[in-house]
Amino acid sequence: MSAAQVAGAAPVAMDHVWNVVEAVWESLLGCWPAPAEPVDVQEDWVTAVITVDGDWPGVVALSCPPPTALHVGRAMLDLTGDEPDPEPDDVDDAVREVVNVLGGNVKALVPGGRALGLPALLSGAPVVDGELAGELFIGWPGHVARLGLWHTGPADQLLPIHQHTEQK
Amino acid sequence: MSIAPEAFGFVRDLVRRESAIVLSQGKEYLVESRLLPVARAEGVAGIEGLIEKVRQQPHGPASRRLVEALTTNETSWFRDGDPFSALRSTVVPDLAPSRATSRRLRVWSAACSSGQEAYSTAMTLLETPAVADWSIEIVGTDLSSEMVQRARDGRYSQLEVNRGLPASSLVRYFERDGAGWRVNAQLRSMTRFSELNLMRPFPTVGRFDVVFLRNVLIYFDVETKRDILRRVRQVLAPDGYLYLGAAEMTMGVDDAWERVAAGRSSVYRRRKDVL
Amino acid sequence: MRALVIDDSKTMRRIVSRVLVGLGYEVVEAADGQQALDAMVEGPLPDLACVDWNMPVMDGLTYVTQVRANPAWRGVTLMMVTTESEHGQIVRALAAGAHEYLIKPFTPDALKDKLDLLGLIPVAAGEPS
Repeated sequence: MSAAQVAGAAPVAMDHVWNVVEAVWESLLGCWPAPAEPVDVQEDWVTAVITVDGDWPGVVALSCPPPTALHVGRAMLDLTGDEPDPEPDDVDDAVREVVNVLGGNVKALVPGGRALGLPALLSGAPVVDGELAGELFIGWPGHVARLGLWHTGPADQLLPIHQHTEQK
Repeated sequence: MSIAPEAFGFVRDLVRRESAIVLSQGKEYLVESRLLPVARAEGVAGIEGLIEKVRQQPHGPASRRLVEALTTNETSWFRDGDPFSALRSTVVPDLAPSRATSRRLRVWSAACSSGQEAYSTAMTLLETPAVADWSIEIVGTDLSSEMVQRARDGRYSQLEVNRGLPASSLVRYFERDGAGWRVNAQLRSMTRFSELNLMRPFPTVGRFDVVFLRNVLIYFDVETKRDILRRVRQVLAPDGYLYLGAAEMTMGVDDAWERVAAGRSSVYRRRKDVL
Repeated sequence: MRALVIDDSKTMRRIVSRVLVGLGYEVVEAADGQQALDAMVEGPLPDLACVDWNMPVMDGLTYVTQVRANPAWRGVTLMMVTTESEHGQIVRALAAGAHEYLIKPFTPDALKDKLDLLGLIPVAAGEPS
């Protein structure tokens, strides 16, 4: 498995997070994921983030290219090939819901997970005030996505997520 | 859409190698209905596409999913609700009085697959007041050593525990285990699992009060079915019960059984005039 | 039969509604617990409410507690549909009065299985009940 385990890593086995990914992809997206080679998150990628509060506060972020985000929307809404694409807002909602489900299940894996935040979207790779604790690259036919898990400070600090680049 | 003979042959050989289950001629419908969803999820065109993918990666995930789809017994917790409510309402009330002294009940799950039937039986008996504090032993057997190991582990994914298992049972009998759940120590103490090939002579297993033989006879020809049913009768208590799958019956195969009224379940007892 | 589908995600509301409509339910949607309570006061009572846990304004656990506190609403079956999946959370939800609990991610078949357990799969029109 090409999961990257970083120094100071989470007390969460990324194998378990992979099992969560499998369950989400199989049931909500109707396809089977396989570990993929690491790729860089590009500036135009869609990233959905969610905070996990508790004894081990963290952030879960799912990033993928825009066509993959569209695919996720279509798959979750069970659209057949000739049905038109969902509205951009609906695609955003679908991707947020995927990170919501991933986040909730990760919360059950981290020690003393208590509260799940509400999902949010941004462009490009998230820059998180915290340590990258684990990372998975998820592949399925024609698509790839990156799931990152960070260990952040206590919840009363400022929201730790920034846009990757400022638009000039 | 009919599966081509060559494709069926490939699938049959693979399944036999990986699981020892034989898909005989006439089982093409089973292969089609179970493999088309697998092909879709693998993103390939139909069964031919799936076979191509498996050829390219002979021991990869697609191959494993193909075999699983064809060999997994499709019982799922209490989804087929009736067999377990029949246990509570018909079978146990009938068996309990004559066992009031020994206070023992032995059940055989004879195609236990990943163990759900055995554990559902345990949960049901623990909630049947007449026998809840008895000595209950549930033996689960399967042809596949992989399945037996899975059953013994008692670990199930989040998706598996969502299927037909009441939430109250989930919290009462299971614990979180990684990304999934595991049956608790009480359920594990009531069950034991081992490999067994129904086509071979049964090892010494003692007598059972209830035998579950659901959805496994479909894999055998009539002669073999008859032989298995005869040997099951030999290990069943004289007043014991046999469960078959919902669409199965002993009629035309073995006339030593009589059907019991038990809701919609396919439940049998030895005919009174038969040993 | 009528169902109330409560989730702040439009996508998830559509996924659940699609299954229920396919089974013959009339479905009303709400985006949070307060909207759901308003719908129950204003309109006909649902037979079933599928409710998410984490929502703005009023979360699902609070909604469940409120519904169970109202004797007039005894007939509404409450199923939580949520990514909260710790053993303790499920216990909390059942203790608050939820009748069933479906963990996300789920398949349409899993939702149907739960409805079957609850005896809430409508009999098709024209068939004897």
